Amino acid sequence: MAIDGDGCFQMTNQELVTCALNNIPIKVAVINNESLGMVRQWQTLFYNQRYSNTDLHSKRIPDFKLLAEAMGCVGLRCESPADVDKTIEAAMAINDRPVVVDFNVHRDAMVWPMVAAGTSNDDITVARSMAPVWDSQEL
Amino acid sequence: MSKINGAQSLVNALEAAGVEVMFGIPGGAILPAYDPIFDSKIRHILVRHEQGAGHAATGYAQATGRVGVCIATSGPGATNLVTPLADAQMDSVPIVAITGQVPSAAIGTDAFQEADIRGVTMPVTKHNYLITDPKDIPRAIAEAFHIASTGRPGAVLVDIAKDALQKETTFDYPHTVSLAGYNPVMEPKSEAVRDAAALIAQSKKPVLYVGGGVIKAEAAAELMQLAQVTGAPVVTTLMARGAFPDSHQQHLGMPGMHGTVAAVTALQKADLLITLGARFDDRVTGKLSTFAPNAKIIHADIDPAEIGKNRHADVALIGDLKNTLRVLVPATKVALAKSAPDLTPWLNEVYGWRKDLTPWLNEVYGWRKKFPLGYDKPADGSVSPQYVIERIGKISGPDTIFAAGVGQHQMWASQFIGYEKPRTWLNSGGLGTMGYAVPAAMGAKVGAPDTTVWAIDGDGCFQMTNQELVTCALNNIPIKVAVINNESLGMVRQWQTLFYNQRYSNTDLHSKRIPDFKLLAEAMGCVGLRCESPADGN
Repeated sequence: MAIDGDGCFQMTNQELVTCALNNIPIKVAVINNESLGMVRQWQTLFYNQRYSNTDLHSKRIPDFKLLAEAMGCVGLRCESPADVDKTIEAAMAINDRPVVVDFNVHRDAMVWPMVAAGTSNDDITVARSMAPVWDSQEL
Repeated sequence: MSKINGAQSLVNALEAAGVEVMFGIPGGAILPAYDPIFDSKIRHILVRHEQGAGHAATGYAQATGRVGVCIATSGPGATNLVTPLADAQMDSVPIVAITGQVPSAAIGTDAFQEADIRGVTMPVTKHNYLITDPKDIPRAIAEAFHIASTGRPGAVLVDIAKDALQKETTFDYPHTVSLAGYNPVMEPKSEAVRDAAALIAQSKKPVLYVGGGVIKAEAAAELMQLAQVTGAPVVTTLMARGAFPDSHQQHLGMPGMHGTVAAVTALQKADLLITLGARFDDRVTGKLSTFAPNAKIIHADIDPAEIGKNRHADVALIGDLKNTLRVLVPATKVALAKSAPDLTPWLNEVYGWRKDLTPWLNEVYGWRKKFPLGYDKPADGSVSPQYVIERIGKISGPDTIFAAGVGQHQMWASQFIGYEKPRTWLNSGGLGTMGYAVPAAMGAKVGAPDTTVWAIDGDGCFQMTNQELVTCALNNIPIKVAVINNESLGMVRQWQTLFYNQRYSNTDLHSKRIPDFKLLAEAMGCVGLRCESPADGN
């Protein structure tokens, strides 16, 4: 199972052709937030939401499902929370070809906890501007 | 002077250097620079892979003559630029790469996304920098553009530590650049010009051996004058296609491994090679010790390191080719006037044809007639790739820019498309980089938006870098791509046919089966078409 981003996936997905032709049936989950998501997260947190060149428009272009099919894979798409499990199960049921699932996800989801680059681990945050609440004096 | 951060200083410097467009991808270390890029008048095109950014910068530079710019983050972003940097450097294309580096205090600690990109690219760039103090940014940018675009053009990398982008500084762009030890010689020595002219006046079998330097120096008009004054036949190397019109009667075509019989034979039988911005590459010379055995060599090049590198030069003309030809043409006229008294004045005036050259020209042009470029039509009725490429050239015409990948389709595109103008033929000649075509065509189209741009690509090449079609679709860059699909690594297969007893080890790509290129194109927001019969080419 490859867990990939929509940015990463577009860098090297031609190897799906290799997989399809050589009977290497991997599964690829494209976590498609139509962004260079981690860079976008930094722009959210440290650059006043000035999203310079991180919007990949990848819910519009490319069509990952079609792209997968063009490369001899099964292409699936999941756009709603209700479809997540059954899409995964559908992908799990395919073993003779590579499968690519385009999971359209919320673009503003962020990775937490976070220690901002160059700062102390003492300054860990569990959500935006939110430090952990420690039980007593010290850990 | 007002305080700004290093990132703003970088963007100000790029604007001061005249940059109108750059191709790149943001990431952690370069991120501070992307904030002022957001407000800059410079167009930034967000590509899908850094290699695409580098080749796009190269395509832009080759189509326009301006410096191409690409930008990437540290570590893998930077290492993904290594191939296009080496490619541009080998073909003397002026590009500048900007890379972010980890903060200066972290350099050398195996920090996240750290790569010593200055060390990595040292052998494949003309020059490179690592900047850790923000006050050095404007000077480094000014120098990078100066070095990339002057002398023998090439690739320059400027690596900037993240803290240098974040710290406060003042912006002071140097109006002139003076670099100790870097003073490209622009004018050839006058005695060498006289010697060259004298050799030309003595020669009965001269050939103008034209390389890519003529295009770099914008010297096509001056080359035409020399061709007219000498009446000598002309060959244009792979990097020089378009420097001299293919339709001109003196043009014999391309020399080298896949050159025309006339061009190759003319070089072999010549008594003088007037070498202009060419470098006696192995693909041109074949076995070097047997190359042009009877020829004296005039070698004109901006790079003194090329003189005598592969072949001894009897006369070296070191300098800018445009300047060199501007003095060589009149000097040749003078020399021919002295030592060719049988030349009638009107012949000199019109074309400068010399009577004593005529039998030689007949001989050479005879070879051209006897051995024209040709190809067999497949017996099974399938489409011959040469036919497709020939028709694309005919239908789209001589104003079109063509960018080729590397391999058979590249050679056919160099052979079966007629080039009439400089900067209409872009390819990866030196490094031979498969995957060059699509991103280079994208860069060329950005630089020449009103010109039709075709990528002539192979099915192998195309699968290496086609993700930039997404970039083209999203950014209104309507290039055309011809995938010459022979479901093989065709050139390697040709070698296996000729030299390995038809043992086709790992050259079958099965690409008439997978991928479906038409569907792939549509998935990337392009129009996808398919042609399977010769009749559809008409």
